Amino acid sequence: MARITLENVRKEYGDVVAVRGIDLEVSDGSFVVVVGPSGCGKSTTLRLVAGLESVTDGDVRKDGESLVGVEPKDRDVAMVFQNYALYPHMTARRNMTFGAGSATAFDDEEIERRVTDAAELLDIEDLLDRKPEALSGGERQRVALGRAIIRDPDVFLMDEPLSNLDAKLRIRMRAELAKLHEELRTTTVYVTHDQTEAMTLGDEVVVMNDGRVQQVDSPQRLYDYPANRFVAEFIGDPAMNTLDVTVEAGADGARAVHPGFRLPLPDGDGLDAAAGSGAVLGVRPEDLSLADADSGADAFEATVTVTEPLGDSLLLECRVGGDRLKTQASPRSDVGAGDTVALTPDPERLHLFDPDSGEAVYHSAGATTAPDRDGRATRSPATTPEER
Amino acid sequence: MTLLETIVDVPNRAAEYLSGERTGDRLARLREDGLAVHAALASLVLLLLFPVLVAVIVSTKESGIITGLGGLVPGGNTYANYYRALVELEFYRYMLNSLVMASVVVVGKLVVSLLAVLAVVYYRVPYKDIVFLFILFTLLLPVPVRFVPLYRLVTGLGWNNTVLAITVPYLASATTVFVLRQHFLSIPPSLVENAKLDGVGPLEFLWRVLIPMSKGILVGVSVIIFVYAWNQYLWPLVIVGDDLQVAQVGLGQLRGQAQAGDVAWALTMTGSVLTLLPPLVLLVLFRKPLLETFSIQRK
Amino acid sequence: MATREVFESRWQAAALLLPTVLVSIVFLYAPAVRAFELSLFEVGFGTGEADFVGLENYRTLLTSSEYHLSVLLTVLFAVAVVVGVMSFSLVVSFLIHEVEVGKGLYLVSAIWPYALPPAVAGFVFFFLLHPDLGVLTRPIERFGVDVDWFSSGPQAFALITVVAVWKQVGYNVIFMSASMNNIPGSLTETARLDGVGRLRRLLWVYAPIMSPTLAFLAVMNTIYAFFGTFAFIDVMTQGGPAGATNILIFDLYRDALQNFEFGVASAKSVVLFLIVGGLMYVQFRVTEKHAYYGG
Repeated sequence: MARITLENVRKEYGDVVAVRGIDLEVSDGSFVVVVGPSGCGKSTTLRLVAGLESVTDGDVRKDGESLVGVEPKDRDVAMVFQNYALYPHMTARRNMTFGAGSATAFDDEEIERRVTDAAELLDIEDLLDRKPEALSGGERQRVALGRAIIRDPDVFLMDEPLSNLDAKLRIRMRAELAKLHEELRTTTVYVTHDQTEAMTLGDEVVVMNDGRVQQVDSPQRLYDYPANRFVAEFIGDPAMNTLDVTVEAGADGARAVHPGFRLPLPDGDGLDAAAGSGAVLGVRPEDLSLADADSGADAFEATVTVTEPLGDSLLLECRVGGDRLKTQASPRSDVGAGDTVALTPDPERLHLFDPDSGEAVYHSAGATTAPDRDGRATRSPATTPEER
Repeated sequence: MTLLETIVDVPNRAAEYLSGERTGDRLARLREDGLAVHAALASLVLLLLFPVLVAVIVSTKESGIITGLGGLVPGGNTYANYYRALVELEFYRYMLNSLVMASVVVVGKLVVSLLAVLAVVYYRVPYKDIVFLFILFTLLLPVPVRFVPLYRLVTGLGWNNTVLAITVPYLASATTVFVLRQHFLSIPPSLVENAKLDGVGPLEFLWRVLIPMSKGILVGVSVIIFVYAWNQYLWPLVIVGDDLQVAQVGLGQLRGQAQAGDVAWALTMTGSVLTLLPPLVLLVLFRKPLLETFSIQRK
Repeated sequence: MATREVFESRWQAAALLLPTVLVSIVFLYAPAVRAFELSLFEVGFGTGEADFVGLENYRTLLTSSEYHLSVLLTVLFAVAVVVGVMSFSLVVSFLIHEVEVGKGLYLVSAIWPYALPPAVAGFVFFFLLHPDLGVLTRPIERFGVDVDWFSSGPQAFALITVVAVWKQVGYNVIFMSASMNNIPGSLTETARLDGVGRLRRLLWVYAPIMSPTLAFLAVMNTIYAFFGTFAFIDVMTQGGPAGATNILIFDLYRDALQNFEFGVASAKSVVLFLIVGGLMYVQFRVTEKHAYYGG
């Protein structure tokens, strides 16, 4: 059990800056997911915590004590790798025990006992005498997890552990990981490029891009209150629509003005400051609904260019005043390419971003209910019957 | 089928053939390949084998003098010839010397190169790449290029006529270092990172992870080194005397000693067959890892 | 950025590298440098005393018609060996590639000369083609050739070329077969569908794809012809008759250990080094240029 603190951490490889000064607090027993596109510095950050890389500047602390200069083996962390890092010539059992002697203070008997326990927990008792080549991808990942578990580390570090698994297995292992964390409650830092994984697993999600932390928040708040345009577009699939607009203040309130529409914006923080200048309007596809014919003034017209039936919904790609826009309609809607549709955005789900910096300046949801950072939703149990 | 699979499959195919179950089938497949192609291939391969077949036949005869193809039938003197060459003319000594030299060079090169490659691949230290190039560059310096000074150096050390002279100068190996480095670079980095997190030291990692994971390559490299060492001729010739002389050079002595009688040729061919045998046996036995290793070397 | 370089102790790395580096310096680099140095001296016979003579030894080489002959012979020999071994091996590898039945057996029967000790090759051919006693001598003489390489220079030269080619076939087949096996089957099938005959397929489809391997082999074979053929000469011809097989490496050996001309021999070593260096450089450039072919 431990708390990890990163303070202004920088990592440079020669001229290349991988991590540009990040601050992060991973509280004891939490499950923190670091997510971002490849090359954003997330893996490097994890490796800095592991001690496989040394920081160029800044400090990494565990329970308040600096880890800088501490050998990896003395940090009491265990890592799970994307490619499992199993030794091909050793059995699953040997893979778990090899190195455990020098990594921990356990004697051989204790290690054996812990292997038995971990195997039971992971349901791999029958596989312990097999070599990796005789194991499936999911089984290998369990052995790799088992190896980390028997070391009873303060922190689990997981580097894209599910990325080599096929889609179905990934969803199942995701649920098992969540369950495992419920049981062990070991502080976990988990790196992934998959935003769905990040949303479903993390107590807290750290979005990184270009060596910097973009936002740290609970999954739902990340989705509802993206701190900037990058987070807004990275989190959520299909991605949030972004359109260049001008914000006009008027007698009846502010409006986002676009060649294709004049959208009223509910009063809220930041709106006054944005008034009279250009901004980027963000609205998620599922927050745009096909309006009835008499839907009123807030609806605007769009021309459908492409339809993509997804089964549970119908994804429409539309054209509005020269810009492209995606929206989700109900699955069996009678809409085809070339049709003109009327779209109504959910007034509670509009975002404005600064066109230059990309920072969020306004969330319409914030207009009615002020964001309450501490009262965020806790993660719902990840194990649902459908997923098992 | 890949090259390797084909080779490894030879015994199975031979068994299949001998059991006769699929003879008809085989004939059909032979025809499919083209009988002309098989005929051409068989003659070319025979051409390659012919000289050695002659040597084997002559080594069984009492008199080595055959002046026509008609004389190419095995004689009944096999045991006598091999006994005479190996024991009476003491050719076993040369064989033993070659064996000692080749074995020491194989083990020495492997150990020395494994240590160097461990540093080259798994250490983050400055000038490492320069050291690697420095080792690779020795490829440009075969014995003839440094012949005279090497001779004077080894003589000066008082090593002439010792096993040291025909082994130590061979211990640095650009080829071995190169092949092992290529192989280690194909092992995922996460394995060593994982070992590092556990506090497994470099030598333990080498011994318990790298070496067990590289058995095939190590066997292949060993065969290459063995053949290379066994086939050294010029350097042993000049640097060691008769006591320590190697089989290839010993063949000349055998010819000289045997020339007194009329069995000279039978005995010389006996010696030739004996000298060919060890590397040939290794090649045939370990052809699979050998070919695998060669495929790395070309990269 | 995953890395294998997880260990950082400099003295450990130095200790691991020490044996290889030490042997390289003492037995490879130092003698090579010393050879260059010695080539500038005239070394006294027996006494080992050296007088600095500058480039005199090189001048001797430049003006020695015997050495010129040796250089010429070696170049001719190298060309003959490279062309001979590569065409023979290419045909053998191609035929092995073409058959299904007995492939493995053919392959082992073709690569075994890789293990052949050169002196054994020399002795066997000495016996096969001995002018008086050779097994093949009479059958060949029936074609009207008088086998007499003890006194005929061209015959002796031809003989060592044949032996040198024979011994090197195995090495070439190993690499050529591997290279041919890497050619995508779809290419072969396309060629077959287009009705491209075997020979044209080999020359116009396979050979260009194999060109990096062929370039590599050309250099390895040249180096072999220069350095790996000493035993043949020593066992069979001793450089004769009348210098007809006195290739550079044998010439060097005689200068050093029969004539004790250490200075001149060292100059010859330096010339050899320049030749190997040049060849390696050419290989590097050729491989680089053809890197996109792969395989």
